[in-house]
Amino acid sequence: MWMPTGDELSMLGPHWALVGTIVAILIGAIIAGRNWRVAGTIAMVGGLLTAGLCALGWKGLGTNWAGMAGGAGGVPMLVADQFSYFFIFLISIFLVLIAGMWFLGQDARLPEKLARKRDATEFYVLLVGSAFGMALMVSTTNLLMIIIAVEMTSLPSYALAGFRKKHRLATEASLKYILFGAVTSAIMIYGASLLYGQYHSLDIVVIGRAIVEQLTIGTTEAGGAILNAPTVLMSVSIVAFMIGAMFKVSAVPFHFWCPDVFEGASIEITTWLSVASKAAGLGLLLRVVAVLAAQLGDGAEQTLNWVRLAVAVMAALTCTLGNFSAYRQTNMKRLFAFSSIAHAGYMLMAVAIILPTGGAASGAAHPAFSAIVLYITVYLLMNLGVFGCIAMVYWATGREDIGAFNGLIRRSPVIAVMMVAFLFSLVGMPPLGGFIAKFWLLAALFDSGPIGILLVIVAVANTLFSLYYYARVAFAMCFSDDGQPAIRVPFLGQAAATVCALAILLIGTLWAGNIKTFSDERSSNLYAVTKQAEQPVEEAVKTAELDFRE
Amino acid sequence: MPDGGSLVIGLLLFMVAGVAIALGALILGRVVRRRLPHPEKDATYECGEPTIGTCFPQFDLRFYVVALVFLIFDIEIALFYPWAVVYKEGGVAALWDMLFFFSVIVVGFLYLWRFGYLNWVRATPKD
Repeated sequence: MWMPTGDELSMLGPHWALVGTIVAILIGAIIAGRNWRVAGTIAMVGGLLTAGLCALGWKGLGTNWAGMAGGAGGVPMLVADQFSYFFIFLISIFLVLIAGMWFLGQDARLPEKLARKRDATEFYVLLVGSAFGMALMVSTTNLLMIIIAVEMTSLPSYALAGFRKKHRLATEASLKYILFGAVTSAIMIYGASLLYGQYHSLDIVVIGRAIVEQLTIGTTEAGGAILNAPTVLMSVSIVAFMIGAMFKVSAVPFHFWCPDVFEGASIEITTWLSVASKAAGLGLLLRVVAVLAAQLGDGAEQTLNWVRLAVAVMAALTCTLGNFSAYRQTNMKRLFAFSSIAHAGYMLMAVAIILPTGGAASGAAHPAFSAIVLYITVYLLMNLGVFGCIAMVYWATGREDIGAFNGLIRRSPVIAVMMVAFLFSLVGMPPLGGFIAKFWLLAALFDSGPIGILLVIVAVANTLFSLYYYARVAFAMCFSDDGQPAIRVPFLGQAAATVCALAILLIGTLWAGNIKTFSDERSSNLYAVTKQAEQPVEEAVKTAELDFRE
Repeated sequence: MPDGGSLVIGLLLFMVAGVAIALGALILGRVVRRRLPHPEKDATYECGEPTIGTCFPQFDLRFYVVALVFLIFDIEIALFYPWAVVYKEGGVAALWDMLFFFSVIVVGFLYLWRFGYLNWVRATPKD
């Protein structure tokens, strides 16, 4: 019987902290009753603890496997490396911020105020639960674990989307989310079953090696493998499997849930889903594609070409459709739902180009990895800022359409100025962080060959399109004053928005170099998972099967 | 491993055969069987009892809570059983493992208990 070692347990510290937070919130509720302050404080402390464990742990962290079924070289369940630690850090910091946002919103005169207070315990348990699912999502290469993680993320999110009980839009959002999520998980699990059927392994590393064995028809003089053309079944099953992550990222054509859920859910949940769900989905996609590409080595370009094309087309469609659909939106949450779809498209573009161009062998990180890490960091700040500002206007006026923002520069100057900064950062204007993020993304795309260059053209064109609807909000705030009264916004909220905007400004200017080094480090050993590939395929499969039988 | 073409043909054949078997049985039955319509035959079958009301009533939500509580114990049993089988090999670590797992689940149960989800008659707060 397999038992975890102390090392394995300690390297999963952040995961433990998140599980502990869920239990602690429940115990807190059992002891102190339904107290929203207690539940929120525990959630925030737990989130900070998780983030702290990640930040302390990631320095010089290599690739560590945990939960090896069948001893060393078997099928691992979880992986702890800088990449997964970074994403868990991001998610848990965001968790703390969302919890803070719920605290601030508690003072607002909302129709659901009493219910919010009463159900705070459940809210935080579900929120941390989905965060835990996301933490699992970014730290595994095991098909079963990926499926469990995606479900673990989705199920609390469905409940959170419909958390405003007796609210028609929220119920609709929740139902749509469940139906859509169920269908995409079904497709994903079908893809996973096809992969398992073909290659008899649950681990993507082993599957990658099995693919190489299946397709090798000879060796080059230099010793590299000459690969046969990929089978249709292989490509179909990989793409089907990736659809689960595409749903989380809200890539076209799996984006339909996004605007409705964003509109129906309460604004904290909208913010949470807009960043955390996408971050986790991207982390999963990146790892799956990187691991496969690293295993395939020189043959990756040819073998995964079909998969790459599918991702590239989806990415191009995602940002174009997202931007064009945002044009006519008048509800701010819907508008920024489409904006977040467009940004998911930009980030997906980088996934399309991470097949190694000689990088995997030398151990160097692909620039696309760090581009995504950088983008998602900046994107977190921008989106938190934008939704925070929308939330504060909503709390003060009870409205979330664009008309509520008319003349905001007079009614609440701080919020309006910060909002303009976030908007222009979302467009990608220098000197804000959004520019640096987009710059490194486009640079990585540009260096990666013809597909990348086509994607650069799409991305640049889209940036131009997006300027219109972001500027429309800025215009409403600054130039179309219709004499609405000034609004009262919480001081802490103003401070938080200012800090976010300052961070974006600093990332765009003084910290531009630091953040690049930071994201290079965090994403450096994604290809390094190859090193696990010492054992031949049959043995790895055999040990895994033996372990099951035991 | 079949190539792309034969795979697609295989999948198509599989789908056609799947639809054909289902449709074939229904059509064959329709052609062969005798027709003796009777209102009793169209009625909903409910263990021979006459049915009452529509088939879309709103079930009491408490049933769902009971189902969820059942799930807690169900999962416990499902994981306790294999654990008990290999318990000797696992030793002390296995004991701590299961105690941890068990306590997490018990916390969930205590939560239900504390907030009265186990009471059949329960005061519901007003919004």
